[in-house]
Amino acid sequence: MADDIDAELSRRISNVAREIRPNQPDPRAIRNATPIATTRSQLSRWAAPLAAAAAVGAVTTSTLLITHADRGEKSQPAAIKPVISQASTPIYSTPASVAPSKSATRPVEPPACNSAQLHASVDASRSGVVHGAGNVILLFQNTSSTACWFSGLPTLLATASDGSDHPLPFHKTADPGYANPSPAGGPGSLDPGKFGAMHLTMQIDGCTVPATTYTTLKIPLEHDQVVRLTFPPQLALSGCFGDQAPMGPIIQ
Amino acid sequence: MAATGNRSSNPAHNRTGQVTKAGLDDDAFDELFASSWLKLVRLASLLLPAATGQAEDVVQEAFTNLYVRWPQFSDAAGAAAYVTTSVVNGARSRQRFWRRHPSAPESDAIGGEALSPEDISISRTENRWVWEALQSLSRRQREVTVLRYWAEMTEGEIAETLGISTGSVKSNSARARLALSAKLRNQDG
Repeated sequence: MADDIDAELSRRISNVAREIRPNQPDPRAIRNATPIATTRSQLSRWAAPLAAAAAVGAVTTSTLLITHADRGEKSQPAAIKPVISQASTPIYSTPASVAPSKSATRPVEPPACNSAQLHASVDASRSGVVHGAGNVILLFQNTSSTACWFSGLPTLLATASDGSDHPLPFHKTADPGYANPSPAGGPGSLDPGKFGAMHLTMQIDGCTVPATTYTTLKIPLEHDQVVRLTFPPQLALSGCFGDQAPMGPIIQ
Repeated sequence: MAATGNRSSNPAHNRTGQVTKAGLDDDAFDELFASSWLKLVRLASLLLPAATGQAEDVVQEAFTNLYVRWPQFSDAAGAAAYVTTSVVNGARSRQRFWRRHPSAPESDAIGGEALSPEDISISRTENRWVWEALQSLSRRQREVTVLRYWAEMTEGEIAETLGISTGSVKSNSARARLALSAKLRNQDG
């Protein structure tokens, strides 16, 4: 009887799926539109040198693909392609082979959050060790009176007792939902008093790399801003750093 | 000179289309795309209470993300698992976005009434009923149900794809199955 119900559900759901018949695009459209730089910080990092190089005619690279800055829920794969030619004249074109996004509308964006607006802490209630992996949720409260745009996937820095900074080798996952269960759903506006988050994981079981003791954790923001907090002990449970998901406002 | 289907559009690939490290080439990407695109759009359509066009966007984004990471994959199975997870997460992110931004054009699918079966061109009466039954489940129950009955994943695969424990898969699956079988009995009776 149980098998009958399972078979019936499987048959009926498959029938629904079979009625969905989209037209299949050419995979080359995806490949040609694939972004190299997917974040605003990456974009800004490349923009100045490229512009300078173009101005002096030093760039002979035939094609560069750069997407829109990722300020919405998801960047769309239909990319703007700044083409820097031999003549050093930037030409912007949109590949015709990629269908335009059907969900291009984005909310009005406030300015990016700065370090004075954010207070960082560790969410002790949601951080802990599960299935041999440590989950660390960093919280960022907007303590200012204005909303700010909270996003980014920066390289975290740990300050040692001698004052030296060391980048933490987390594996960055660009997909905000990939490092489940991330409480943040990607970039977004952080209203006054509200919390944003960043989800980090540590490998505990099977890790043979000894943990290092640091004093301070630094989280770089846009425009050379840095948020600091006392180095969380949860990040010193092992020396094996896991995933790092993008920062974003917490989804209620 | 714009890129026009050449194999060097991904900087991690060399001029002959081979990746710079051990990994898959663009032909393998095209093959995976051809073999799984339709199934993934159907998967996203079943997960999203929205029009099929949204599902296509989700799948397109998933393949775009996959291509960026393509050199990291050494086998097609790993890449297929990644893109499937990415589609599930993409569908979930859309729903979160709509909830957070109810004024967005597509948010009617979540914030207001779910789109009707006509909106996704489901024509047969039985299929429309199944579609509506799926939409009546919670998001997690719908995800588990679709992955189990449509994608034919095992509990372990579902747990890995959704990033939840197998216990959570079992409990959500049992609740969803109970709800659907009750609707099935009512509908047939």
